[in-house]
Amino acid sequence: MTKEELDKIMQIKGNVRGAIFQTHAVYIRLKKGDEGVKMVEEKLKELGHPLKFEEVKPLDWYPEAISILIMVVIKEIFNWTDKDIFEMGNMAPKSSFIVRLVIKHFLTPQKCFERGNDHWKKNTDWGEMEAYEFNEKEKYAILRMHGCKSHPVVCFYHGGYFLRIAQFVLRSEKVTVEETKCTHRGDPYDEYIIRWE
Amino acid sequence: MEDDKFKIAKEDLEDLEIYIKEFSDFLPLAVCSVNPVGVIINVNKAAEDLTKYASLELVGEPMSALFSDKNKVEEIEKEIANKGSVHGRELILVAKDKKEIPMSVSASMRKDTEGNYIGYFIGLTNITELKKFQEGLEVKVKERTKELEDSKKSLIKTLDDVKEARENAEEEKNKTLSIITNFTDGLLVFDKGGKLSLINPQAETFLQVKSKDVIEKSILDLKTIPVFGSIVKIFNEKAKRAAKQELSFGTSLILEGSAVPIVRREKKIGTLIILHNITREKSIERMKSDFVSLTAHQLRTPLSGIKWALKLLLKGDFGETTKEQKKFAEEMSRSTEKMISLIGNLLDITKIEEGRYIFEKVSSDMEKVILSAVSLYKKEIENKKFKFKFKKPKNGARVKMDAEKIKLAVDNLLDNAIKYTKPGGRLELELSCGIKEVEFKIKDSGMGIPKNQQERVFNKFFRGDNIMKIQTEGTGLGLFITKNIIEAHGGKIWFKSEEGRGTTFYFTLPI
Repeated sequence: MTKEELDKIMQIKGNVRGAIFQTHAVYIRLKKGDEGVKMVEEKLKELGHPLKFEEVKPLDWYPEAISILIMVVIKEIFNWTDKDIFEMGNMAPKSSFIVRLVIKHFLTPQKCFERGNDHWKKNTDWGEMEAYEFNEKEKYAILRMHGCKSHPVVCFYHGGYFLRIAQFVLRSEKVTVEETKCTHRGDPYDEYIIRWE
Repeated sequence: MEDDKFKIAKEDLEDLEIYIKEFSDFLPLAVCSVNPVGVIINVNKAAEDLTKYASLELVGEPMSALFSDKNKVEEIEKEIANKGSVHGRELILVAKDKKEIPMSVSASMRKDTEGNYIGYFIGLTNITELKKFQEGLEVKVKERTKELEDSKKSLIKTLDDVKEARENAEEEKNKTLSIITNFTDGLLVFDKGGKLSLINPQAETFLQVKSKDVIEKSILDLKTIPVFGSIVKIFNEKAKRAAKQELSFGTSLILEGSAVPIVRREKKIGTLIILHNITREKSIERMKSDFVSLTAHQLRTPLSGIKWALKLLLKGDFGETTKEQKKFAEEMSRSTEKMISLIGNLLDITKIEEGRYIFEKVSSDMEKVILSAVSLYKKEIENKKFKFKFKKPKNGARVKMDAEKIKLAVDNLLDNAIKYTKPGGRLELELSCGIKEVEFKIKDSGMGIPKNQQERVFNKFFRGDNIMKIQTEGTGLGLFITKNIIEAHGGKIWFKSEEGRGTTFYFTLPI
């Protein structure tokens, strides 16, 4: 990673809950063990942004830039692909303290969809989630993320994350997510279509 | 100020999260939190240990995916949503290692502050040990049930066998009763206490009594009924062993009564009296005796005439006879003597059988009686050059007897010994006197009696096979008469014999 790249990441605005950092650590530990977690911590320290995952508090706010840096570092250290980051995002709600707190709002798929932005606000202090369309008959829903242009890796993470939330409430083995619009490709917002059978 | 409060609340919440995590990890009960659509949202450590799945593997999966019967899980979920909770439902959990674990499942509904159903907590208890115990118990119950069923079958079989045995016994009893009822002999059964327990119709007819009048009566009571007198006598005297006795009921009915002890397992349990009607046999026997007696008497008179006529002829009273005529006359005289002797024997037998062989017992000298008999054979003993001995007691032997009959008995024995012993043989007589009886012994070195015929020696008309070949003469009545004479005196007669080496006859007479 070049200094320019690091600087560019660290210029990204906004904060996220420590719970997100904790889910990162859980996934790294799952795939690479404690040694993997240690390697990431050392890399962050090396880059001048030290972080001890164990010391992270789930409800505290931390820079979104660090969360993105962790994902970029992971890709670099473990030679992971965007698909791995998608998987990491997909696993995150499973161990998220925040998700456990707000799960009571996921009464039905539609309610969950409609109250998506509330959930978003519990995790981040930037961007807006728009529940654009929920079509139970056709079995799809469209989410639009406004003001979320940060780093391309985040698009994969969000894709996996949204898919898991949908999997939680749809109870369907065949649920898919597709990013149909992306700010990094010049679109005015990020758009995700979730489909199920 | 508001920031401080918010900070404190946040810290409390974080402490609470840690507390809940620690508490949930400490819980030995496997607990899952499930959302309203049945997807696992959270699990504790015990659930991970139980299922062998990591938390991340379980969360996000349908609860039903953990169990073999998914439909049953869905039914339980519906019940939770409707009733609020379920308790102690049994399900089979399929762990990550595919092991099937029996579970007792209890669940409780979760609601938000507005009362909306937001899922449920479910607790899983491993009941493998309980199941094993139950199965063991079931096996034991099955085994015990089987044992009981087997016992029942055995019992039923035994009862069937008993029933069959009883029916067989009943049938046998009926058969026996039928035989007893239709038996031509009269039967009376007394129990071991001497009570009459059975009398068959034939016995009723013989004794002219009715069963109802005599049954269950003791032998002492029956003694008072005249017709039972002879029965009681048999019962008392002969009940200990099988015996026969002739019973006369007037002239028209003669019965042969036998008393037979009824023995079971070597123990006498009663007495059976059998009454066999011998009236007809006795009648035939009497007619036969009458015929023989009449015939013998009728023959003896002309034979006596012939005997005297021949005697006179031989004496020359009818004039001189030629040598050849004399020879024929002598032969005729001997034949006549034999015929007279045979007729005498037949008459004696008739008398014996009719009980008319009357003895006139007077004290007599036994030695004299013997010598008197021997004198008749003196010439023959000399002719045949027998080595003759007669050993007698010094002080003589007096016996109360019918001397004529005893002489006849000695005569018969002496006649046989001389007749069946070759010339030059030995003939030894011995008379000995004891305190209570005298014993006479006559020993020869004659032909002896074949062993297989010795049992029949005292039978009427018995003649040994070996003597029949060389001696055609002889009636076979002598020993029969002799035995009857000795026994009529209260004595005993027996013999020892070996074919080809001789015979010794013995008899005793009470003094």
